[in-house]
Amino acid sequence: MRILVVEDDREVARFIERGLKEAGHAVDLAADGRDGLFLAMSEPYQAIVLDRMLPQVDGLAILRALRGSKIDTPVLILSALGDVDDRVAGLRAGGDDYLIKPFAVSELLARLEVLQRRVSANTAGPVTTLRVADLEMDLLKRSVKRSGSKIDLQPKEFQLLEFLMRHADQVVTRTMLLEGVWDYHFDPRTNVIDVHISNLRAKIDRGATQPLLHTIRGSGYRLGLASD
Amino acid sequence: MAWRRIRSPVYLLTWCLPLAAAVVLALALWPVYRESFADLNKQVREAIAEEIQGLDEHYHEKGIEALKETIDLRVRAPADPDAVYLLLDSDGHKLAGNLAGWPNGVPRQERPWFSVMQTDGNDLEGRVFELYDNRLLLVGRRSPLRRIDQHLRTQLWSATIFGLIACGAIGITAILLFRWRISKMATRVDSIESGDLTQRLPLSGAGDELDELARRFNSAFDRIATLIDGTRHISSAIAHDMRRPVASLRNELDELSRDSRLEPASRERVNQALERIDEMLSTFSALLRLARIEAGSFGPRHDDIDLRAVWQDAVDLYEAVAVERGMHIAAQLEPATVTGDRDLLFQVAQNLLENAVRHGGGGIEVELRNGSKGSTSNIAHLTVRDHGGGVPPEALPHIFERFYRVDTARTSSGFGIGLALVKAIVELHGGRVRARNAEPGLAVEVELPSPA
Repeated sequence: MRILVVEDDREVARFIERGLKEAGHAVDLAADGRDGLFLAMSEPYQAIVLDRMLPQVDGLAILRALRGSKIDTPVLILSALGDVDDRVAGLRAGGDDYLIKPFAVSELLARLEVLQRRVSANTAGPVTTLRVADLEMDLLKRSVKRSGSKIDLQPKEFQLLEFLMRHADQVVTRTMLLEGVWDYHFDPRTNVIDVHISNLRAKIDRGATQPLLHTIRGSGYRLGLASD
Repeated sequence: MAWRRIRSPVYLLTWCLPLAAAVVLALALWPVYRESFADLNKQVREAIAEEIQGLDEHYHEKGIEALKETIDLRVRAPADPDAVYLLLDSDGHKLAGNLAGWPNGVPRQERPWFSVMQTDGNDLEGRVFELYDNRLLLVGRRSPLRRIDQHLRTQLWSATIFGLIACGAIGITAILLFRWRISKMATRVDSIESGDLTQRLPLSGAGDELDELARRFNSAFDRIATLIDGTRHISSAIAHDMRRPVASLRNELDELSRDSRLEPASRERVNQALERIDEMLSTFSALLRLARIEAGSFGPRHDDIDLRAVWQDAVDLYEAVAVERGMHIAAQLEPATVTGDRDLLFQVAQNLLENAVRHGGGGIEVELRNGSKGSTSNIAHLTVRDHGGGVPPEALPHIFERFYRVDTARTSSGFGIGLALVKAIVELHGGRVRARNAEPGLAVEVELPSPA
């Protein structure tokens, strides 16, 4: 993926750049809003990581300018401000996701990945069945089967699994789960999400030869066949 | 309780002062009363004795006819309208005087002094004097003394009773006024105690002792508010300034954890360090959020929030954690709507449940009731109760303070800022929060106003 990072804090910019490059992405850096806007308008990027607080031109102003000139590149806003008002303002200005500093690179990567998939998934029609290996979810009947045998899930477990299946083979962080499944926007404390995941894992991976729900240390979870 | 109330200085003042005044007055006035009464009595007797002596001398000098004449003269034109005369001959027939007959109760013989009560209530006091030839002369006075005495007593008694009633009325009015002012102060103190440091004690404007006291308390409250502002400012300033270096440390460790040359054991340790830093950072951001909410710069959104749904989500989320720790959350949730911010209200639920799961044991009870208070507004009552060790009573008012620890010597985790955030968010929504011991366990009660 080719990604533009607009960030005035040099240290943070280098940190993001190294993290994204390690994951195999191509990164362009812009240190202020004017350069950022210029690059974003002139080069084709798959995603833009945009700091909200920038010298010269404010992050949200850049975002509005981009959207105003019909550039639909997914934008992930970075902010030191983590409160709902700021998030709402960011998303209303045309941002696709919002990440509070400081963050783990894995969180940033996971979110960029999701933004990228969202763009490509938009072209496909509505899905009624989700499938990951031998795990099947019927969204109309609200039923789940593994290797043909039915699995009973609580409504929240169903939503959790649906979210994981929609993001199969991607790393999904705890914060993303809290946002995507529960629709609350802040860091989950303690291990609340872990407990729900392990309950879900007990249901879908019980007795199976190949576990599907993996914990990625320091990042989150991934649903899919083991990659290594 | 009643005794303690009676012993309160206000009661003492209103009851004891009039009583004491009455006793002092009685002690001072009684001898005066007695003395003047005795004096009056003496004067009457002296006058009678003098008159009898004069009449006796007259009789001796001029004989019985002259005496009769003198008596008749005195009866017709009395010097004293209360004077009484009766002259009897030896057979008991009336010779002269203004009495119809011998008064009852007075023996017909010489008496140095008699005093009888007559049917009209007056006393008849006087002397009987035996003249030559067995004639009896009675000279007396219809004494008004007893009547005066009774009159005086009635007057005194009614004055006393009236005085006591007046004192009582003044006292009760004073008490009521005093208590009204005290209770106004008490309500303000209650709201200050519950955390609203902008409140001050009311001044009556009279400039009296109570006003002076209130003024002093107010300046003490001003001082406390300044100090608290200072500590708040310091903690958020620390959080603000520390966030950047800690974030940069976090970034370093994050990169290190992805270094392929790292031994698995070392990677594990780096990850653990990262988790700890994340905890620290989330404390920082909670502190900053708390500071913003308290400073009022965090305007809550005014959406209609289904409070029951928010709590149902939180209970669902934490039930799994509770079960893992051998607990269970029993929730009874009535429908309730609150105007505010969904994420912040969820944070209240999360922090309260987090607290219950961490400090409690056994069951956790969550109850949401939609109690109406008046017809115009509703109040959503929320209670989260655990069955853990609870909190010592003296610590209860403090658990909503940031970083409060029940036991300073113990290193176990304190309340951190979770409950402080709960209080700030609830107050931002115009509600109230308080904690009480449910014995066993701690019960935290939240009241949120909900649109009617």
